[in-house]
Amino acid sequence: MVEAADSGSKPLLSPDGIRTDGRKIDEMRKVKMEVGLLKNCSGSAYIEQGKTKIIVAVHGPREAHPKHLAQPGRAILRTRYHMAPFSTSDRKSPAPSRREIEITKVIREALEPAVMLDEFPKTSIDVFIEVLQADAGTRSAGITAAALALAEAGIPMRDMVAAVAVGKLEGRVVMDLNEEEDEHGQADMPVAMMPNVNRITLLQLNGRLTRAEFEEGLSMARRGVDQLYEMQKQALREKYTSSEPAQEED
Amino acid sequence: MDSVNSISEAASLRLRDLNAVLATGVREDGRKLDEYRNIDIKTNLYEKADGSAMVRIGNTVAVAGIKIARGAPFPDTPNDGVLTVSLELLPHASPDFEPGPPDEGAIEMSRVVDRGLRESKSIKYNELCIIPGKSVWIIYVDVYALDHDGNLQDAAGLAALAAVLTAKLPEVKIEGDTVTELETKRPIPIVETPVPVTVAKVGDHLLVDPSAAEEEVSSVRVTMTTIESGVVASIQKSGSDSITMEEALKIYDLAFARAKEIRGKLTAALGVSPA
Amino acid sequence: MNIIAKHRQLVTPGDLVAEGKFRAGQNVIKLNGDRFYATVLGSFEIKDRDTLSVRALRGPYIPRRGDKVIGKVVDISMGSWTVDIRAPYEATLPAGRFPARINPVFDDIRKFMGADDFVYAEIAEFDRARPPILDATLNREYGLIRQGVVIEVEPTRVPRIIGKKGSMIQLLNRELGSQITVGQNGRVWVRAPSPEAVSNTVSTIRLIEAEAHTQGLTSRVEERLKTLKNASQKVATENKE
Repeated sequence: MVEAADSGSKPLLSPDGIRTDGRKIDEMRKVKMEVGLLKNCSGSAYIEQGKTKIIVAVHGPREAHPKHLAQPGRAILRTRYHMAPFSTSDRKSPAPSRREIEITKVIREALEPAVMLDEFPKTSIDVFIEVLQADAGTRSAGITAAALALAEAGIPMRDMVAAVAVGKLEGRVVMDLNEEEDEHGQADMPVAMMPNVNRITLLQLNGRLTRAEFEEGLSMARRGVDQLYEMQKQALREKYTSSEPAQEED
Repeated sequence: MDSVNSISEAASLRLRDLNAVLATGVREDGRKLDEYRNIDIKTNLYEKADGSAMVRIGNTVAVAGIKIARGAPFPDTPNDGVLTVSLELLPHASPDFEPGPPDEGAIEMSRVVDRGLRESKSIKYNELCIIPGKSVWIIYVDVYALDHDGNLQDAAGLAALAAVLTAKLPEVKIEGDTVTELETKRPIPIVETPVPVTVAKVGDHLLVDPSAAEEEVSSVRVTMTTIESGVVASIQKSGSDSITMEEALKIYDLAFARAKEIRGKLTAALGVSPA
Repeated sequence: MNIIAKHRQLVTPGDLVAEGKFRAGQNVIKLNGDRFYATVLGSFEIKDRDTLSVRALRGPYIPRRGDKVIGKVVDISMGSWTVDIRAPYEATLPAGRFPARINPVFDDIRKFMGADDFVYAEIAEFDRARPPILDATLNREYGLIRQGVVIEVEPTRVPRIIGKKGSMIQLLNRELGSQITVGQNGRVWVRAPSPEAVSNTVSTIRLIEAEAHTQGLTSRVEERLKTLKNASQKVATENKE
């Protein structure tokens, strides 16, 4: 997880607002999304955000096992956020860490407001988020990909969900931290939103922000979410436009 | 939203009634929506601990104890001391709490306390260094939830904070690689007071310091830890519903205002303030 | 009144499809006042002038009473079979609703149908509160599947495989000499006079599934059938069972 030892000393943001990887303050890393790449699940999605690479599989709705977990009036949403042992510089133990357990919970709670769970009583919808390479922003990229996989699975949703982490470097609010910025920056604030109903479904902060910075961070996250949402739609259209129903259908 | 996923049907009926009550500006227990319960703070309760505190928020009780030991620093921060928080929801606190490994709720609560205290950078970790790269002070903060009547998150956070503020660590004499602990003690170098304040959303209303009954029908809670200067140092949204941006900013203002009051009470109770 | 999405346009969850006085049909919800949003990936449709709906492109099979389905036995208990029908809910087929004289007290129902066997049956009861109940006695064609092959297709593609009033199946049956039974739950049972005919039938069904929602599908299928016929005229013209 540790970058070159001297990276703490060199500035993360140049005086004219250019970051160490050449990005501007409000510029997102390069994002690639793909849906439907796995066969044996209800829905799947893959995302690359900078060097962060995540694959998500959705199973269900299916009978909840063990049965006592089943809810009479709605489906249960289960998530698992997990990092592959080879996803970090030092091998990560495959056993779920406390960090992963917490992230699993907040990701589930970021998706639950969107998924129409009452459509499938007594079932479970399972979302498996596997981080294949971690380079900061894994929980937010995981949420973006998970929403995409849920949509691809045909599960009804009130809205999509997309997420991005904003942060603070040299006193300025910036979009989508990379690993070096996450390690040495002054703040990291992942935000997930439902873009059409304009609501926040995940909000965390590590580090310090004034009220003005907090407000700026939220609106920057909003802009990032809009960009990601367009890419989500694009990914779904790319895969399914060819299957748009023709006029002749009944 | 037209439906809330996370709460039971009975709770949603109660929520409807509660929402109507809250619209009058008064909560079930008589508080105003933005009003915190009474806070009682006691410190130095256990002689064998290096610091301890018990915090009572209404009927909610949490206790924190601190043990300090010498140990090796993390390789990536060779000149910094270490603070680690763990939290246990004792079966004493609620019939719903079982002994055994912590569930995700307890892990989250513990990590939120940890982040509020550690990631706020209010503690000068470099002043906890004994021999660079070899020996540093490690501060173990263990928090127990003893009684659960809502907002354990703040009770745990405040107990941990009060314990850190009053804990003492020994002065040392260093000769070469030999470290001798002296009889004299000094406080933990903490320069600010990061105070957590939790706000729950119930129906359409934001409630500061939710009671257990309010938590039961709330679908989302936000904990913000703020510092004297008006800076927020950690945030956690918890629960299966969403909030608007306006609500997020309102929570910031509520958290900052209540934290200021709590900080005053803390200073009065402890008779100490950050260096 | 403002319709934003076009009829038959591909929409994704959260897409605003219309604003104003409409009715929310399948897979459309009304939020933020008079705004209508799609809830699934699919094609947007306006029916009866004011009913907005989205036909899902993907998603689970949701049982409906009267659906003919092809199930797979996954478990056997005292008086019933537990049957996977590719729905979120496993179905139950009681021994009394199987087309054989079974005495549930004395007979081991395994003798009639075992694990992994396929059964053709009808959804007799389902209300989402209890598991679906199957009945294999309501029609003579129901019962244990003893021959042919069963393949799985995307449940949302089933209407296209069946075609208008069964036209697509009839076309295949006629041209390939096969006998095709399509379960609403996305399982297709294929019988044909020769292994070659079976394989031709299956590959044609796969073609329909893959191109289910494209223009001119029927003519492309006809073309393909002609090619297959020329390649092995004998098989295609042989006996129709």
